[in-house]
Amino acid sequence: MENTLTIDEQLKREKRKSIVKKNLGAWCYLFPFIFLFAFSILPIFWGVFSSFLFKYNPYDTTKTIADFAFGIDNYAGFFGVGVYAKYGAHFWEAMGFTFLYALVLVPVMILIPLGLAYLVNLKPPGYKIFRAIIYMPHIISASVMGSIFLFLFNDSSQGFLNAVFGSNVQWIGNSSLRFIVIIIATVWWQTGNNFLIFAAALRDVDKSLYEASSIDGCTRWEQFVYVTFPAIKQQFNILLFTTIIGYLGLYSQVKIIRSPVNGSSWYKDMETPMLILQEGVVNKDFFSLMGLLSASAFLYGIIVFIISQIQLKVTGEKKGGKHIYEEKFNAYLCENNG
Amino acid sequence: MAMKKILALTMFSGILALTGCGLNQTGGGIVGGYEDIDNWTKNETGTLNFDSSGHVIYNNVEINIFSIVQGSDKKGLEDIIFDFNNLYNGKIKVTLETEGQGTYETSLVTRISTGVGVPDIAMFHNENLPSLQRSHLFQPIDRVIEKANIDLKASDFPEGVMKNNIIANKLFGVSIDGHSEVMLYRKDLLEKYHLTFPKNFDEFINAAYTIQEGERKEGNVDFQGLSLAPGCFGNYQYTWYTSILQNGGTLLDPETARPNWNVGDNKNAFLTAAQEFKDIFYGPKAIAPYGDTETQPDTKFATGKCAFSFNYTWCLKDIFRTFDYKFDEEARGIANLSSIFAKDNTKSYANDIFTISHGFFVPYNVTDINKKAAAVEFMKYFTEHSVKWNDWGHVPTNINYVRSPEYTQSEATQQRTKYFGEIQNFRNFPYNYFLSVATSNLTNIFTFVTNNQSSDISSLLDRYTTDANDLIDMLIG
Repeated sequence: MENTLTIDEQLKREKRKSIVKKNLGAWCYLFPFIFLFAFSILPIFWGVFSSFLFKYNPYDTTKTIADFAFGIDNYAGFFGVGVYAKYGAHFWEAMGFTFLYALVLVPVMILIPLGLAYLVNLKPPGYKIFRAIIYMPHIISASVMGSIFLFLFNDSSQGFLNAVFGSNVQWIGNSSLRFIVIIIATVWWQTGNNFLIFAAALRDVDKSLYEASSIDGCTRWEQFVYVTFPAIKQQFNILLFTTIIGYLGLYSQVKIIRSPVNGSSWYKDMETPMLILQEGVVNKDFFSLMGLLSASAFLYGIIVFIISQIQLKVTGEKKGGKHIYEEKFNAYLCENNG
Repeated sequence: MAMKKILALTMFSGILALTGCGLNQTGGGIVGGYEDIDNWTKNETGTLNFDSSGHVIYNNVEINIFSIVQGSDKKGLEDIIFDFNNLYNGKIKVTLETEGQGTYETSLVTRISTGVGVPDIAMFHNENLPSLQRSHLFQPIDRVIEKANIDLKASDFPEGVMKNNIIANKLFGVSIDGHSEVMLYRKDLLEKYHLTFPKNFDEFINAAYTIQEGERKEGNVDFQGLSLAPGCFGNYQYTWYTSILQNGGTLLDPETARPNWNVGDNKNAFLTAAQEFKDIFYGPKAIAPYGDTETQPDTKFATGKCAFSFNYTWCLKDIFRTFDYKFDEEARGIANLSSIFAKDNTKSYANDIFTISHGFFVPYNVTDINKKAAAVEFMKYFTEHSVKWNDWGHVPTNINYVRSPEYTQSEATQQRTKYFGEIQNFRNFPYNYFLSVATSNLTNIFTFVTNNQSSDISSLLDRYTTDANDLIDMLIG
């Protein structure tokens, strides 16, 4: 077959080969960017664009983008204006609900894992077993976690707690009690992740610092404040950042740990922004709200971004300045050197 | 800093470019209602060839069915496809692909709207068609029936299971079955307490209560008159809706397809139905504890712990196997739900039974006329030869077939299907625009009523009717 090619064709083939060979490296370097662009940046652009399409239904086989009105109607509802005013009010309600959870869960999910990691780091007898027990719930799926807690706190007389105590407490049906059940479930389920990172960070703290501080007469609390915490501050900040973002995206616990009585309507069922977005995407009844949902996602993204930036600003180190402990140490030296 | 400016400028340009693309796109397509219904199909391709007697000549036409059926009843579907392929060997070949209920709809919608992996027949519960059709995903089949000269008429099917398939006077598919719940009851215990089979709700609750109290006095302390569980749809859907229908209610306004649960006679029907379930769980003659789990009715009935239970028509075959018993003349019986929840069994609607139907539909972007004709040919064959499907608890819908000896004399009909009720009494969920909005609110009403003894049913009806309509207003815009 090769022999039948003309010289011209052979030259063209060689040229093509050389172009491929020449550009292969460049394409390899570009590939991650192209991948990122196609699957991450482009969808963001598309999401922002479609948030301006009123009644946008991407699944409608007979319509093109040109058939949808372009404007700010999808955003008007968030300011109490237009056909989506009630939806807008509900979105803020769901946002508030999420903030409430985050407000409780973020400190709890930092302090409990930190406390447990600190205790395990003291290496009491059997600490390896404790470490495994604390981490184990984290590996189970949300649905299993939900099943366990729905069984424990079932409203009916067959629920574990109601059966044991012969009570008739509406653990899930009562919204205040459900709030507490979700907090307990989250602590049980999610502690392992932060615990693991804190435990690793604590293990790496220089032991000589503890010895030195002991010789200087530090109490355990002072050791924690002046030795341990500064040493793990980097990890602490990262975990605070991921925990805040994580709980602002609260989803599975709220979705699973519920009784139908918790919902009084579609609005009430969609308790968090993430639930609204998820429901909107999979439910055929809401296909024509894809523009509105894109607007919601965009707005939600901006809110989370702002909060996370505030957190980074508050907890971050000041550029160029001296470290707080460096200043204290210098003051100490000055004091002692007269 | 310069980098940031470049990035911002790029993003801004990107949005503008995309905006421009979107707005400058041109294209046809309907904007609004159903006025252009004939255009709900892509450009047709191919031509039909006919033999001398006017029948289409099919030449190795392959069609693919994408079905929501994944349970044990899938076997019945496969058997019918096998028979069809044998009969139409060399002419039409049907293949089957299935997906679970959880992801079926998303998958189907994605396939049709992207044009990748589009099935020639989509098989799903027909109550979803009107909602799905808001995205114009399917095409009318009556033009194909006419063109291909296939003898398939909507009038051969009862209106109660066919109505959802007709949109703007166009037929979009056929309902191949109706499935509901049946009542399992203890004949021996009815006899023991000198009771006859109940003909309405009051007789039912009296019979169940009499047996319950009698058995408890004899030492069977945890005996229940009835064991009732939410079921696989999680919300007592069949019994709750049947109760509303048998008391003269409608699940949606037939004219507007809107929730009208707090209006006039419909409100009375809802109040009666809700009160019935309250009575079952909490009334002076309470016959069932609230909260029996899904498998409890089966085990309690099999182990002699209850007098009545409900079960799905499509589960009976498996139940027979699991508990290794037969519904003989002596001890246990099966009955359909006709008039069980009716306060007045003389009313015309007292025998209505809520049902869900599987339907066959042709997606919008199936263009080859030969494939479309073959798809309709298969639909016709299925509804006229569905004995193997009936075997799995699905009542056939074709009126002519229901009267045929093939159906009436079959083993499945004799053993089970004849107890399931008349297909003419079966009622699908009414034509709707937003199914989940209606069903989720109906579930909420039921849950509040049955979970909370002191709930004010009337105000619940007002609240959920308003909520559902508000949401529909927003969706329609």
